[in-house]
Amino acid sequence: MLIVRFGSLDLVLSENKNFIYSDYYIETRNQEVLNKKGNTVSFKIHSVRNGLSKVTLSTLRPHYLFEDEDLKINLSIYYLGRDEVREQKYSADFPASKLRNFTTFDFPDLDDSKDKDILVEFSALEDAVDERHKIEIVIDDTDPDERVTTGPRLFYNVKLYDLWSEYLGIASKDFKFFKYYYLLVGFVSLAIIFLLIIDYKKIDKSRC
Amino acid sequence: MKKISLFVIKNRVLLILILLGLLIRILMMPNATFIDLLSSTWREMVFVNEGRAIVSNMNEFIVAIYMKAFSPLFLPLNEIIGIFRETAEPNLFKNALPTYDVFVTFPHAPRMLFLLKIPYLLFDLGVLYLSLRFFSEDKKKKLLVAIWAFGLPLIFAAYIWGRFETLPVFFGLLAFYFAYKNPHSYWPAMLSLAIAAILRSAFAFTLPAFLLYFFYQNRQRFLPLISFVLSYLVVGKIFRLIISAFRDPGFLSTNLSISNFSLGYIDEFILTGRIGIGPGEVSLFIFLIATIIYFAYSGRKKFNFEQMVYFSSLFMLAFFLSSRVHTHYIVWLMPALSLACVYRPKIIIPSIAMIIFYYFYYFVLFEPQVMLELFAPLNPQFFMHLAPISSQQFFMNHRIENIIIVARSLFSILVVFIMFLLIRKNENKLS
Repeated sequence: MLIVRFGSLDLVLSENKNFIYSDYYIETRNQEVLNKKGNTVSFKIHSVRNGLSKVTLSTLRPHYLFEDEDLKINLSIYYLGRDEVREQKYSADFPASKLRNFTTFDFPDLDDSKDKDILVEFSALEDAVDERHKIEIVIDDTDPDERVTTGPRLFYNVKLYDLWSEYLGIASKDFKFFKYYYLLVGFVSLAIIFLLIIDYKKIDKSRC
Repeated sequence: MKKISLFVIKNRVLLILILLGLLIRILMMPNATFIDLLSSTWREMVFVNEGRAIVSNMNEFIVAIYMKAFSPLFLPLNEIIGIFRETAEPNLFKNALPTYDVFVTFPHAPRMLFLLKIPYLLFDLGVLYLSLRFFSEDKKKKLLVAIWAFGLPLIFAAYIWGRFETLPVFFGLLAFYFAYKNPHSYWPAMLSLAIAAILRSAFAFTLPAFLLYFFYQNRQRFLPLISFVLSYLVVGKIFRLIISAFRDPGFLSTNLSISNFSLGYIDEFILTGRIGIGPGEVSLFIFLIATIIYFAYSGRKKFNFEQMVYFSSLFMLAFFLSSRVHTHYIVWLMPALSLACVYRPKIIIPSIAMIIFYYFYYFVLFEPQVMLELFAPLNPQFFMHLAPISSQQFFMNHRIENIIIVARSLFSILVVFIMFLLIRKNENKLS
């Protein structure tokens, strides 16, 4: 689903077992219930593009959780270097009441995210008042229906310019073919423009 | 020169339509494909390299002959031909995805796709030629050419999905053309229809309309039917003999569609598209066909070409209404329905809506197979990792089963509505 937004495209990318490719996977690191300070939910991804901008996750919280008893949760995003050395790119706290069945977490675009291993980590910053206030963030795809994905989905902010430059990159790999192909496309396009001009002039004359 | 200028000025609108249709096709040719194309390409390359025919139908064999004739152009394919082998195995789509991934990132992929689709384009130009020849009335001619130029089913099936549907569509339309030009000579039309049915069996569903037409034109009850059956058997046999001359007897994948009447998903509607339960149950498809034949035959004193077009459309619509087929098969409607649209422009908008909901239904039903990654050759990095439709927020929130039901229902309602409009235009009945 592409949403054109003033020259940029928001793309929904998904972890789906039918779409696991060699350069794109999600690895669950921690999957704890966030009802105790220090508990974490984290996963590692390999970013396929620049411009990672948000993550949508299947999130659960009891509907009777009132805002005055809200828990604070931290979201941190790290680039993982050699030997899993973390370079923090983003960190922010948010109230658990923000969570819905699916919650989208926005963060500033990671402009240089292409080919990076990225760790996304949620941590509970407080103990829950009681057991009823447990917060869950689901990473593993647990829905029995294969067509429904409950795993994380990644959003990339992609500039139209990037798409164009990538396409030109593909064309440059087989320049011999694309040289003639562009000539053909250009010739047909020019012929259409030429005929449209003739048609326009004819209509114009008939009005006079 | 002056003659050319006058011709261009006189036919400028037609030329614009034709060039726009060509431009859309040329733009799609190197930039989109479905994985099916890879499996058939592997079989065709076996013929090119080794002269063995392991192709699975006549359409593939025609493309294989073309590839053999221009084999130097396809040499780059040998660099990655090994990876195609697994896509030749049936029902292994998931396993074949990495193969697709490798193909679309292959530097010569756009060039190969362009070349592989040229035979489709040639038959498509044949469809255009027939479209130009049908009507002398300028308005009708322009409308038929516009349907050719922007007809999504044909563009999608041949140039986006990458299948050979222009071949059966060409022969299907040729059958209509012969019937239109010479109502008293049924052999050419029946032969063309038989070839279309050999290439794609569903075209045989229009046969009752052709038989009624030739019956009312010539008072021939059985000869048109015999000519169809004989053409089907003889041409089918000739095709089989040609292929078997190059056939590898040890190869299990050789399953000529001309040797058995196969629709691929025929069991879907024969077995499940039924009304009622138990011994009284009846196939919805058979029920619809019987009803349409009753409408076509009862109390009629004449049955002209226009009515043949309507009833051919009705038979094909009945097929799609009562079956679950494949995403690109809607193109089989094109010969009959595009002519019906010219005779009855009121059905154009419902037809466009029907086609949109048809694609919508199959996109949701068959995905992730049927998705934007069709366009992966255009930009593998961009398209290969796009999420399937079902994991988009909208579908996650509304349950995919509901979306499928809504899409299929809207498609069915529109089919019924078009059928109603076509049956209503049933003027030549006895009072």
